[in-house]
Amino acid sequence: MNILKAIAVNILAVIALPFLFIGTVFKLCSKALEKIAFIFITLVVLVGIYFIHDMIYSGGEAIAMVIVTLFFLGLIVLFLINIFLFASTVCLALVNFISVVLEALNGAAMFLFNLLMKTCEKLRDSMPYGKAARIICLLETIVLAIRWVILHLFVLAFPLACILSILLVLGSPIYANILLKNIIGINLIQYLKLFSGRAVFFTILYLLVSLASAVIILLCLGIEWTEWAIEELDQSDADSSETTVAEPVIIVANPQQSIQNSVDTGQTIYISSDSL
Amino acid sequence: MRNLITLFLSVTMMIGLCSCTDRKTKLYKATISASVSEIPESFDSLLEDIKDETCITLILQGENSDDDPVSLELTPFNEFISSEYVVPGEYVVCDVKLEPQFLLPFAVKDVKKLKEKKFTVKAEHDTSITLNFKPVSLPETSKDILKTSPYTHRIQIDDKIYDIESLTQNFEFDKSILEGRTGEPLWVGCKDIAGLHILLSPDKPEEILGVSFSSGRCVLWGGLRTGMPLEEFAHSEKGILGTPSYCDGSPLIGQDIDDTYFSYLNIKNDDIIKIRVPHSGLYAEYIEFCFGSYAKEAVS
Repeated sequence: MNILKAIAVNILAVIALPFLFIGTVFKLCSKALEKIAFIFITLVVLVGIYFIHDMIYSGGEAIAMVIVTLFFLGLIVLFLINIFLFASTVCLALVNFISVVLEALNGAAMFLFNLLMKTCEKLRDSMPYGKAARIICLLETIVLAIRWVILHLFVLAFPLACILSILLVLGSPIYANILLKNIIGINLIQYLKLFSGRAVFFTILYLLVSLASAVIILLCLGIEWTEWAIEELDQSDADSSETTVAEPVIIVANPQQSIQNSVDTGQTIYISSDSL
Repeated sequence: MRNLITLFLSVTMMIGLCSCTDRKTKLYKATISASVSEIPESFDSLLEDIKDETCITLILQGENSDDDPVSLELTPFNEFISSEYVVPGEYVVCDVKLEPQFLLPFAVKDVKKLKEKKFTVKAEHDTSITLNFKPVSLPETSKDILKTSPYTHRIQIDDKIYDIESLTQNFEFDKSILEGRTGEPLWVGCKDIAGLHILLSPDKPEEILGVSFSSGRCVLWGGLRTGMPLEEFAHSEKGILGTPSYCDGSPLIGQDIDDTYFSYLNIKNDDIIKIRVPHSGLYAEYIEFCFGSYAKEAVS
């Protein structure tokens, strides 16, 4: 019977593992999707930078064209702005919708995972092997270990995001410098000096906006993923302490007297076997 | 909230409508596919950037002229195989494009025959079109042009070297563009060699003020030609031209943002050579060589 239980625990653990992965991926994706609004804003800013750059680059013609458009074709501009706002609202609504769906899928997957793992735990506890049951139910132990590793890895998401951001900010000019040295044999400063001040200004602005948004997205993701991992760890700690609270142990000085008192008052008390 | 629901519903309807049209075509289960019989060996020897940009576009039009044309794009990324769902009927090839034009040592064979042929597409059937290639000879850089000193007004076209000033005597150019114009010089295209232009002033059409080309059949001194990797012409030590005098366009070279122009000024005679590096790769895509006084004027 116990062997059957052990097999059942291991099979349930194997079934639970994909739910753990799916649930985690959905959760991380939904957290990442929340940042898409930021990516959208960044893209708009980058397009804006290039639009201004092109307007200046093409001399006064484009500026004059825009003024004429604004004066005489104001309605069209308003219509375009409305379409843009409509598109952005639709995009954000869709993103939110996908995010909600992902959250729901995560909830469902994690519900199934927890259900299966609780069943495993109950079956394991009903076995008479004590701590050795953990070894017998090896696959369950492995699944729990994988979960532990995933959560502890994501606890490090924020420090990792910080390191990545620093690498990105410092690495980009260094990488560009190495690349330019290899291809045209001059360094980044010498290369930029070949261009007009305006082109350099817009390029730096473009790079700064791109880098800043990449860094902000990385840091936000790091914070959110770390928060999620800490919450999950706290939750699992709370779950395990709940299990302990369900079986409280009160050590009393005089057990016989206490039992007599409880019989008199109708109270239930729990007594440690050691104190008896 | 009501706005959001309206937006959501309208988007769902739009997506639904789009997918319905697409589904209607898919219902026939009729496809038209294009592939290549054999990728030419010369393709492997191309620069990675040029390989990535290689694209054969086949445009087909159905018998009903109201139908949208079908476009099939064959690239290295889809292993030169492309397929589309279409409404059954007869189709003709309207156009065959091969890009990057002028830089590939091969071309699509029998385009005329392909355009004359009618392809019948039946429901639940795949109609396939196979494209064949023919080699296009891009000239080897001759020793003479290699030895020629920088900024010399000479050009190698195919296997012969010409003085740039005498190009009009050797090739036919479409000068009709100059008729009835005055003032600013204009680029005049060559009728014999696609992708070769000369700069002529409408006031003095007999004098050539510059030459420009995107054709791989043209080579300038030192072996400067289109399709040449950036390091071979712009490297400060190893490059034919070295570090440019100045640059235009986007400093973010080859990053899919904007083209970059490398300009070289010859202080001795004010000649300017301008090389366009495309936004998608690190090679010379177009070369412009302007002479003396005109070049000085253009720069100022």
